Amino acid sequence: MSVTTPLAATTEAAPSKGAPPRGRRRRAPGFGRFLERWGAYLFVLPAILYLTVLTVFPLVRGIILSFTSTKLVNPSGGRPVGFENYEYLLSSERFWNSVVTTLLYTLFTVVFAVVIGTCGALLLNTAFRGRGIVRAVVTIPWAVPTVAAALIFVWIYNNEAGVLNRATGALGLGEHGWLIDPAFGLFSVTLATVWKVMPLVMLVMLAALQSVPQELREATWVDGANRWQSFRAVTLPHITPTIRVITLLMTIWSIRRFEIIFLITGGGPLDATNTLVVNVYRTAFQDQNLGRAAAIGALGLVLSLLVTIVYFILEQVQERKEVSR
Amino acid sequence: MNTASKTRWAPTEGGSRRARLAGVAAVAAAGIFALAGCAPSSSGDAEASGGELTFSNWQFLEDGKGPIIWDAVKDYDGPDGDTSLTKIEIPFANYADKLSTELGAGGGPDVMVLQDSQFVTLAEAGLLEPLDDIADELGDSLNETNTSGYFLDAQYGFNWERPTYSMVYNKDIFTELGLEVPETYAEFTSAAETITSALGISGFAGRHQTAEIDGWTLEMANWLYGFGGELSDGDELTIASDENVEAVEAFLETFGSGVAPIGDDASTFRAKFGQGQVGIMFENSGVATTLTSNPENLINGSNLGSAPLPFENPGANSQLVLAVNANGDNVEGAKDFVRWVLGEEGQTAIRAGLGASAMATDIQPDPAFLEANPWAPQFLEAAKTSRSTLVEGFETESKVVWREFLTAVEGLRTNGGDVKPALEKVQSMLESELG
Repeated sequence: MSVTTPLAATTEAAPSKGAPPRGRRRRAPGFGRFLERWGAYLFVLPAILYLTVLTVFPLVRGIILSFTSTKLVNPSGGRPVGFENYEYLLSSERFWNSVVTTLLYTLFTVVFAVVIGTCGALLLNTAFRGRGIVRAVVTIPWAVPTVAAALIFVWIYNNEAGVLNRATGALGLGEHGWLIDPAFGLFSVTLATVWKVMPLVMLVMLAALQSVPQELREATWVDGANRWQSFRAVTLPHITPTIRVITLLMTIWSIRRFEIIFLITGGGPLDATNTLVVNVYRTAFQDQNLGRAAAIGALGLVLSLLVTIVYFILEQVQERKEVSR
Repeated sequence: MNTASKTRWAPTEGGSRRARLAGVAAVAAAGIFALAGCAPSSSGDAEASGGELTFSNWQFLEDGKGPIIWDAVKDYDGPDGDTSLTKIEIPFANYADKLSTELGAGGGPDVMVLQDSQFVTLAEAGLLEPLDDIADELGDSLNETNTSGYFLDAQYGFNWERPTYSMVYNKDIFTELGLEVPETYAEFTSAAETITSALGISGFAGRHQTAEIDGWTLEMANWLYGFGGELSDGDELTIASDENVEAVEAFLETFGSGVAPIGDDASTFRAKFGQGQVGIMFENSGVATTLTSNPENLINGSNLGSAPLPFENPGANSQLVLAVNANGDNVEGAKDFVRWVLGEEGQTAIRAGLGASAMATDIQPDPAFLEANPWAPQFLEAAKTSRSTLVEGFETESKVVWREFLTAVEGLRTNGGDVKPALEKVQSMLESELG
């Protein structure tokens, strides 16, 4: 069945003065025909070129590099070494420590950022005086340049003059080597990261909360539900997809985060914050071993892919559950 | 200097455009993996000198000293008066990483100041221009410090500055407490403890973290060399030698005694020293010059004391080499600049900025400077006996050797444990890694 709009019908019935005759309109001119046939490809060409040059080529080159002995100061002089770099890494205690550090850093950062960010968003979604100002203030950490934030935290954590040790000392919790004791290194970096990234989670969750229909919540209150029951029955199901997406994004960003970790600890103390990405930097630029750094990068890529795959599997399981209800 | 028997080095594949492109691609790929950006640029060698010349040196960013050095060279205009010099400022913390990346990709500045550990790596990779002709031309005017620029049978660089290490102390504090200048390790620990207990400030301060690995390498070398140790005998690594064990034990004892601030980086404890909050440091002449030339410091030329390190043997030096980028835009212009620096005019010009460090020629500091800075001659004296931190026989792997050694020392400082087995573990690991 075909549907003709009034405008189309008018155009078909009475072509305007100067418009090409019907027969000629069917046969598009040369460039028009070209566009008709290749237009779609032309429009996606910039995206394809962009991805090929900036993603596919470096990725493939990086993987090839990981099978060579390439050095930073002689990047074209590497010789093929097969799986030597991978064998070295998989038998290296430092590499596995780096993997564990990455996973712990990612886990703590994501959990704290998502939980605190969501709770903060719930608070900011309620009505109170000065809400606009508070909303603006809590986004400041996200807006602060990472380098500045890292330098501030280095001073906060300073052993002798740092405000954190003054505070913990005054509270009777003792003073600690936040950046010099391996037991506190990861905690210190995680705390700084959560402070920096949590506002983003809060803003995203706030946007999700504002899309929850108010009438549904009011309906639960009419039915006698308390705030917690209303949250569980209406709000949570609405914001769950957003929580999932922000969790996935935060996980991937945490796995690949570099600057704040490197600026605060440089991977130390004693490799306590030597995540995979920091390890890649140190191997490539300090040890000048590009081949081995590329191998660490490739293994890190596998880790990121695994996380994504797990996410999609959980997503599918959840969808099946919802369908079966 | 005798360079007559030196073999002229030939660049390896450096001029090939294809090779450079491959190099750029490789670095770009690693950048994606490592998230660190690279800034490659390729260029052809120019036969004619003149034009623009880029000069890279982290010292340009140092308080007090940096502007003096730049003022000394900025008006250089080449033999024909048609050259202009542009400074490239990179902070010390990233200097080696950034420069190696740029040079590896076929780019980088025309002429640069390098630490010796980076210098040998770049020379071995064929990224530095051989300068034997300059060595031949200038011959006897150059002193022995320039052997630091001779590597793999060619002269790839010359001594820009050899900051040597000595003990520096706050004379006012020593006078106030009636302390004698320490000459032995025991006297040193005693003096540091007295300062800490009497004034509640740090008796001593120094680097002690791998987060500052390049600087800590230089400072730790003072302890090793001072106790008669070294990391190799020229053929094999000697990480766990008795002398090294003794040196590390002394280092750990000092940093575990409460006299030194733990966690302070160099800029922090140096600032404290400048403000009279630290009694003693083992520092190089470059830092001493910087400290005393900063008018905001309480420390100045007259109350900064200097003395030999309180060990039985001389300490280390931080050898800085002036070298030319073989793939630079203006190789001939860069070589002319090196000639100028090594000549009387250049040496006189930069002498003011380099304070009490040993230079490529035996030019003496300005008498007025020596009069205002009585601490300076000690550093000039130390230049005669100080040693490089390059690991003999493992020069291009020096950074890796030092990193593993210092990581072990940091582990011992943090977690405790026996020094000997820890160093033996490092020895074993490095032997399997380096062969």
